Amino acid sequence: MPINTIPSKGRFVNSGMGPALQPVDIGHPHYMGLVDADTAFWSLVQRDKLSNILYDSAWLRSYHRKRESFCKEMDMLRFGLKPSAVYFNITERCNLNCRYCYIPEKMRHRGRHMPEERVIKALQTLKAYFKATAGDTLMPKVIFHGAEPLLNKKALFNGIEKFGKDFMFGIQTNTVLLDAEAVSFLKTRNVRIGISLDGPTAKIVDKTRASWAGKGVFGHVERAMKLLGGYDAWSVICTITTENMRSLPQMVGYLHDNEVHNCLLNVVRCTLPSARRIKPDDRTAARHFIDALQSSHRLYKKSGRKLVVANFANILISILAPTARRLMCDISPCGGGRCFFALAPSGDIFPCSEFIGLKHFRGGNIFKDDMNDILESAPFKLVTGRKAEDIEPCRRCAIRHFCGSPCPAEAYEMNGGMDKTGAFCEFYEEQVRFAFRVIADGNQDAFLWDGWDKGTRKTF
Amino acid sequence: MGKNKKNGLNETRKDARGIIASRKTCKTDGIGLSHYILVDKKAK
Repeated sequence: MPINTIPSKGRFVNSGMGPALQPVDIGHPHYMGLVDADTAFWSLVQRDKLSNILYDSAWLRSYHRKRESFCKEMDMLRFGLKPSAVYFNITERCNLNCRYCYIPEKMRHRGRHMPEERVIKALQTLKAYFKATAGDTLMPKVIFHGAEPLLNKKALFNGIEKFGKDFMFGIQTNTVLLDAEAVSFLKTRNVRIGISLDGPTAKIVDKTRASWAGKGVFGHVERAMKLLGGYDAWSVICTITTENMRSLPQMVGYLHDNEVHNCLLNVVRCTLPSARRIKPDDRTAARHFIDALQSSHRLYKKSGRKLVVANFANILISILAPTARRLMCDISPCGGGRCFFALAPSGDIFPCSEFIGLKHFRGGNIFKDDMNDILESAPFKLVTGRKAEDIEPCRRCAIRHFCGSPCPAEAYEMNGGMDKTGAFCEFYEEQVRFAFRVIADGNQDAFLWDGWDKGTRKTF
Repeated sequence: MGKNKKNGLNETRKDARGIIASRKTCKTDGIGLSHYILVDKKAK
């Protein structure tokens, strides 16, 4: 917008066209944040110098020159992306009965597999779709996801074998069926492997993750971790609940001891009522989560070897370089239905795996409907149209583009609508505040992958 | 400018006025996942 066509030249903070900079208490002894929520622009300012900076015309001019480009960057990130990944559920069934699973129990217990010929047909359709939308510029990702993909192993492996040049494949597994043969197959085809583990001991893990007969799985996971040793492309997902949150620092130590390089410490999604029964209190969960992050930092300083907590790393990156983020739960609209979508064994397509089991969020069927129509369907629009600006208190929250107000499935199912927050708010607040403290202390690189900013350029 | 990669610290800008501010941009090729992570590089 040319400067002479607007009523204000933006010379002053928080009035006219000036930047709307909100002071943010980040809990640091020396620094506080100044954030323009719309552009996700931030500065950390020494607490006793806050008034000076608000009068610093050179600094304000410097930001004002960049503001429009930052607005465009956030608009592209929030509204301009196309799908590049699919969560492919090739079976409804699972050999475990985890307490917080987002797939209804009836489906997991007695559900069906997607037949192999349908798996192949679906991958052909996805290949054609991505070819048409992204051409050769992008290697789309297909992640075989829960229930337990290895229960439909023949179809899974044949799909990977046939389409290995067309997709970057990943699999999330509970490890019960992840034997040496399966690991060898997946490793040699460079399939990314995510395994699920909720604690450092069988006693903790068995509280939330066990077979239908109540048998624990800790031994299976330990065996799988040994088989995966030395392979670069694997990680561990730990779901934070009331049952394991106190053990998160020990969990980090356990993973580090086992030479795990990447993990996710995800607070439980409360889409279904069963998960809400083990939902931790925000503040308590945040305290243990931050203890775990600090523990990972101490281990790095002591050993020189990182355990990257990827969901926290993603928050740091969303602050340092918004477009370099990888995970899309912490921005609004979230990635569901616009950066990725989920394919159910029936061929039904949902905006995200969280919605599988919620029939009213079905956008169409991959075997019957056009992909573009599915992505434009009303259920998808409901999710892709959910913006922090329409949610109270997110609309006035300075950190709304570092948090993203997750998750739409929780907001809708647990709290009654897309204009509601999800299951947690203060947890995400504390996570962002800690991220700013890490930056204030100059420690961010200790929490990030080496080379995370390769391919980036500095804009401020 | 108090910190940069040359002196072994990080690249976040901290100036004499007591401000830390930094922003980077890149293509959005890596974007697009939720609770699963595709890891291309091993962390050290």
